[in-house]
Amino acid sequence: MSQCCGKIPGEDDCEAIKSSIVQGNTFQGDIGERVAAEVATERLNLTPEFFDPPKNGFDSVYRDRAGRLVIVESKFTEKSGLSSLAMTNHGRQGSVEWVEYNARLMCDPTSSRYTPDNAKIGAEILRVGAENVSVVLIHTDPSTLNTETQKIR
Amino acid sequence: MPTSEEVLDGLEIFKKHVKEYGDNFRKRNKLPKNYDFRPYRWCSRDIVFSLLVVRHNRRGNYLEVDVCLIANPPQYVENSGARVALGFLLSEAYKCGGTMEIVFSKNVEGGRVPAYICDLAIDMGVKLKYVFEGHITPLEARLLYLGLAGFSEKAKNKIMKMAVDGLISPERVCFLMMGGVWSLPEAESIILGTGHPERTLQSMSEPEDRHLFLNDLMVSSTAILGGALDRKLLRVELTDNGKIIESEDYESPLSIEFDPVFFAKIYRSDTELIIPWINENHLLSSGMQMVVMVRARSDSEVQKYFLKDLDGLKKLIAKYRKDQTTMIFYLIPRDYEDVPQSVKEKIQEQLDGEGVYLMIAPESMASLNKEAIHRLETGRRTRQ
Repeated sequence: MSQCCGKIPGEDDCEAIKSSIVQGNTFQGDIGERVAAEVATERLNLTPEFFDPPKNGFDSVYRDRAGRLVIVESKFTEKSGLSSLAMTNHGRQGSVEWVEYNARLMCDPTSSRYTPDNAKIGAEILRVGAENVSVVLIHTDPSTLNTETQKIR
Repeated sequence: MPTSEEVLDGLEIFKKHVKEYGDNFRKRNKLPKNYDFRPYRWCSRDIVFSLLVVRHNRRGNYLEVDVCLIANPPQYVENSGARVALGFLLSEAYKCGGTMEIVFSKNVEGGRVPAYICDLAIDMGVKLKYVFEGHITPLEARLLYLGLAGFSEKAKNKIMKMAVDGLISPERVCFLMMGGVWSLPEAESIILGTGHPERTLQSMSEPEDRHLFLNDLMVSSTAILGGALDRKLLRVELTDNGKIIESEDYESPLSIEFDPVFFAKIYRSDTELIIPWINENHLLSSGMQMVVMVRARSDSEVQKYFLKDLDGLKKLIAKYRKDQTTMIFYLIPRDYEDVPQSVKEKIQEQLDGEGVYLMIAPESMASLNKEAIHRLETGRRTRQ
């Protein structure tokens, strides 16, 4: 992003930006998350938790039969398995550091990840310890639509 | 996180501002004042990072933000949209001459500091006190600006010391860097490598103050020479159907440090990089480091100061070359080609004896000095 440039836009620019926002609501990520929701509830027998997914952070949060929190990362990409997990400034997605960082943001009322429901989940993660929260990757290949599930922790 | 309604409402207000700007300025072929609302869009290729409408509020002497829409495209680094938006807002606040306070209007997420900017502030360890009042205070702005600029701890400490001594404000240093006058490694070279960086950064010396001006010129030329090597190493050339294309979005994963004692740059890379401007073919591999002593010297200066530089190189070798993973280089401009052949042979022989590679940049002293004068003049025009 070395050459991000600023410009005073014209009215045509505004129309183009608006149409891209209105039409561009269904992204690959949304499709992946829908597939992951099906897999999580039907195959893994997880129960969805009240959670408002932010743009960055956890994709979805569930509970297993024992009532423990399970974070589900959904990927809709040709990259396979663990390699599809992105490296962030706070560790790789799914790592203890990443889970803890996101849980802290979810509890911070100023953050974009905060909602009352997210704050409850964040507080619970911090209380039980990020290392004790399971993370599951549900990966869907866009060309074959095959889905595979992998327990990260 | 802003709701869809807030985003669409913000977009409508943005459109209104664009129309007003068109009617009041574009169509009349006039330029706006700082206190007029100005809409900006920030993009890389066809990806929008941020839409902003700002003006300087003369009554309160702060920067007023009427629209601040931020996107964080997943294919870029975390909080990239917030980085772009905040970088612009802070630079604009400085340029407009206010107190650096930033105030968000009710149109921005109901009058709060945008959530993505808060995420970035948390990431940088800056606690914002008046988030829901929509204010960023001058002190918070200073901390955010320093965090965004990305200076090393050593450089930050020196900047703060200069600020305490009343020599230069941290905002000015950040503005010069964010405004593109100096790149981050160039600015660090000047801040850490010279006795009075504030003179160079503020362009204080007039050409009439001959000695001071020449000193600033030498410092600037050397920083620019080092910057030229940074850019050469950072640039990634991608091939498309056998043709080399440059990508503005990709840079080599390179870490650049600076040793102020020797005015030397230390490079480390996670991938293999071809080392440029030397006679032999060498790669900088993962786990290796290259230490480059930078000297912007004309042909006559090379002849006059080489023995002194050689002495410095020997000390540099003693400090850094513990094993074979460190390569030492002596970087000078292409004026070296004008040195008499017999002298060049002697220099090469002595460098070979110490195991130092001679690195000759394609830049000449004339072009380095011209660029240095241009940057010093640009710096002089910046708000003091």
